[in-house]
Amino acid sequence: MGHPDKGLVQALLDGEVEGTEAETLRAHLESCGECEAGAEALESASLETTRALLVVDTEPRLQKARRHVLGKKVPRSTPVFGFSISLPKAASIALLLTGAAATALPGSPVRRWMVQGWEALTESVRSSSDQENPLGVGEDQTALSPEGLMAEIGAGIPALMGGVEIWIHDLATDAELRVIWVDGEEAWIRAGEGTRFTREGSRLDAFGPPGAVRVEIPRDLEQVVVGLNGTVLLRKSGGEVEILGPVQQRTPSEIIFEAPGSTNDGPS
Amino acid sequence: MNFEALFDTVYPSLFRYCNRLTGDPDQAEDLAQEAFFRLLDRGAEGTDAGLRSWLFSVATNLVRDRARTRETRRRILSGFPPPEDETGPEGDLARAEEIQRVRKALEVLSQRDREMLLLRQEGFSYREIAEVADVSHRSVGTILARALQRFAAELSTEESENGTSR
Repeated sequence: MGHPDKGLVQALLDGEVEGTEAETLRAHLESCGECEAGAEALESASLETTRALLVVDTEPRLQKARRHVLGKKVPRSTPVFGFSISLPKAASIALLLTGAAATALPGSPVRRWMVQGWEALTESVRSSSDQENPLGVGEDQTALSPEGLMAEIGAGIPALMGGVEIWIHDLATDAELRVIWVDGEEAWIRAGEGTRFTREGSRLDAFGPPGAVRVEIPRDLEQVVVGLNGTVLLRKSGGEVEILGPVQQRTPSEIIFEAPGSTNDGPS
Repeated sequence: MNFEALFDTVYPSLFRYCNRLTGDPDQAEDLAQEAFFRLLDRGAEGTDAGLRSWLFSVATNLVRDRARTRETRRRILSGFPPPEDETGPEGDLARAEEIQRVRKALEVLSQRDREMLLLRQEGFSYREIAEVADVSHRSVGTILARALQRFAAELSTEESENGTSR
């Protein structure tokens, strides 16, 4: 064979040439001093490049990036109001959003405008109250409950891969557990301040929530399990929703479960 | 692989690639995260290798866009004097010089050759590199051989000019 060009030799060195062609090339390199020297020069340049590039590397801030990317999206239909917003302002925005959502069709310009407005608002709240989350679970946001002053925190889990499991542990006696169907791509637990959250894979757990708990489930999510103290309350598979826990009240958009200590004390 | 596992696997490599390409860790962080946000918007459907390649392709395009913006800004600001260099302790200075030397050698390469060389360093196949750089598969080896040798030669030149010791 004639002398191979540098590109082919480089491809051989990079493992891009296989089989008979590779064997023929190697045989030529062993027998041709000129080509062998060329291959050695390329290998040397490759090693020098690898060594030099290490100099400019810096460690990525992985945990920060993880929190930023995985906790970025806020469910759009059930906004949480940050503490930096005054209650009257929060109430007026809530009314505005609720009214518009009631009249605006999904995908309509009005709805998109409302969503954009909300996203801008949550961004500004987040930047003013940005705090480290030692558990690395979603992005916590202090909130005002509808009653006005009760502090609330939340943790979300992306619902990208089809299914999520939401588990609540040690819910306060007679506290309300509400499951709400929402638009969006993340399932969330919102509960009283002091709740501890953990997340592993597609499972999100909340421990010791004081007071009411609100679980938000994206309507489009295929597989969902919501449980309390190891007992499944609700299971969704595709379009089928199986209610296994004691229901106190149910509407098309939410289910309120009776918590431990109530008259129906948990499912069998 | 779910989205979180994909993030954990690909983010460090994508950040390193963007940092090498831009020379700015803060900007690299923004770019790498933006690529993942776009994946979230698009939906993480596809093979792991396909998603990884897609993320690098998006990040590469973002770097190109920002480079254009930076060039425009540079032209606008060309009438103003540059800020004075900040120098730290001696160790920092030596490291800064070393980084500067490598960055200058990278700058000698064309944007496309630089991207291809850095994609190779992240372990991409010639087929994947060809797709991201929009060149023919058969020309990848030739371009890489030339880029590697030019980069190494420029490093040697810089080293002899600055008297840098390894």
